[in-house]
Amino acid sequence: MTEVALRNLCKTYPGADKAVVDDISLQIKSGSLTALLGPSGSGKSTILKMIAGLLFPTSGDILVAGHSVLSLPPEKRDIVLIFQDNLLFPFLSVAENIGFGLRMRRRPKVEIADAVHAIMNLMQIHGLEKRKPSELSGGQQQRVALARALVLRPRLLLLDEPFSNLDASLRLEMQSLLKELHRETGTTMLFVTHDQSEAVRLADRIALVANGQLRQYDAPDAFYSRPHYRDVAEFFGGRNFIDGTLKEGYFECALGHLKMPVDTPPGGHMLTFRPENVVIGAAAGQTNKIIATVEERQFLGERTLLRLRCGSVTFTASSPPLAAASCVVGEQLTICLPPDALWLLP
Amino acid sequence: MKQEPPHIVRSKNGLSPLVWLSLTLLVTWLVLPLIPLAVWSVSRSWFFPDIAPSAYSLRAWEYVLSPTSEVLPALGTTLIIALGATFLSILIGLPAGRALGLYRFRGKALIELLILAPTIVPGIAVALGLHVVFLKAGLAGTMIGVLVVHLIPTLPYMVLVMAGVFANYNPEAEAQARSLGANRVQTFRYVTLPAILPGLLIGSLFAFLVSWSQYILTLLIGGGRVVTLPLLLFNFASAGRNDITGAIGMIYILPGMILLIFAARYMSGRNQAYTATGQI
Repeated sequence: MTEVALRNLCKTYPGADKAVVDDISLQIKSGSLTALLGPSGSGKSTILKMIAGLLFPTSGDILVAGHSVLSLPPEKRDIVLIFQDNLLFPFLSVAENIGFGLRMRRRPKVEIADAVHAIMNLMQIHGLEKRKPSELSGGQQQRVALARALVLRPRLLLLDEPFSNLDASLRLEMQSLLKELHRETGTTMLFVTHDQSEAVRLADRIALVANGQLRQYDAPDAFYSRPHYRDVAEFFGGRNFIDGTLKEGYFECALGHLKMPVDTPPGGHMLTFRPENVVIGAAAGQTNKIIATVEERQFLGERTLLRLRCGSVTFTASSPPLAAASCVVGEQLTICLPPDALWLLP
Repeated sequence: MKQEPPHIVRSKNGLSPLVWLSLTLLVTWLVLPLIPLAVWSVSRSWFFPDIAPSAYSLRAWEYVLSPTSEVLPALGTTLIIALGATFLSILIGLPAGRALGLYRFRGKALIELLILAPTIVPGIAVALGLHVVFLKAGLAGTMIGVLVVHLIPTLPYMVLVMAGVFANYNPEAEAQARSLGANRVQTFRYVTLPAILPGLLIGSLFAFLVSWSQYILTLLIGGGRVVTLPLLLFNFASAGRNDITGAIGMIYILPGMILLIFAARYMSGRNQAYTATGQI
């Protein structure tokens, strides 16, 4: 079991007046694939380096399988961090790179050769043993970097922006490879990314970090349907925020008198709903019907964005292009906001 | 394809005529002066207008290699001091060059200038100032004192070469190695050292040769009690014993020649590795 717990983790670099990592507590389940998501400069990589033992926290604790690892040097933690640029050793061959960690652990040569062979087959890079890293393509380098870490069977694998330097198609390929490796090896993995779609596609759970603070730690769908804060919703593409007050299961705002889901917690003052959950051309009998004027129509290929006005507020709806084809700019339109699509922010 | 600037004309083997010219000049400059030296070492009498000695003899070599002359012990002294100065230069120059190459800090430009200073300031000025300090420290007239004072001219070369090496070095490779399970020593041995080795060898070569050819500092701090080859060479040259000067001179250039040949071989064989390691 490799449960990882961050306890009130803080890091302030010497001479800096602001903390890069500011009181982060996080519980990562054994065998999970967790994303550490946030804009650049939010302290994600610093967190990884502290877990890996390459940086020492200013305060707080890191527990792996229930024991603090702070007193252990990086090579004793059984945690491997893969850096953003692969950092393959240029003077070593592919096989030597992959066997590096085992060699440092002074394992017998035969055992190293077998392990390297097996992992290279798994990663589908057999045949490249004698090549130098400079003779590999970007995708091959990435695979070698992954193999070099996985061959050690670490109890925790950390990946720092693993796919940010790859082009779009290769990135998709490597993402599915990582997902597959996670399934096959069961290794607990934590990866850093600034790309919310990557986090959603790969992770079991996402920890959203901004300005060194943990904003929300949840399953991917929760960031869309139940964001905790406005900035969290915005980071995931939320666009609709409307002030109002909650009264006996209804939300009073510029859009009218909207029925809320029954389990709506009290205390919310701002309504939010995903553009893609706005139903256009609502059938009669549905609740939360609204008459709105189309102000702008924007074709985005897979979706069409509509900017709608209702009284003093505007909001955005995103609809399949065919359903939006009949919407004409300047004309009125009936839409519906299903109660389940509504969520209140503080 | 990038357009080649018009003034660089490449010949078949990839060297421009300009490089060939400078190589030829360099070899002429270095090798030609050695020929009279070699001839002198085996001549018995050689007077001005003659193109070659009128009589030959091996007595200069007999003297130089005999136990009564100081030449062989001086060779040993010179070697020990040069190797020691090189070793200490690595010990100090490696971390110093790393700091200068990797980090930006206040006063960096001033420190770089100070490191360069010994190569600009005349050695005798430095040595005269240091002599008093070395006398008080009991280092004057000792081999250790001479070794330490040799660091003044050798360190700048080491530090500057290493600063250049580390300017193109990504220290995260070391962090990656640590995370893969290498301890500090292993990380240096298997990751840092291979990457900096070519630069380290060049710096060491410089340091060794600079110490090897040191005269003024050895004379002033050694006070005549530490006898190195340059000192003997100067003595015999000023005494007009051209035959013995020639013989000592031949011995004197030997280590430098051997080192240069090894370094040239290593560097040309490792060229690719060098450019690759320069990038990690």
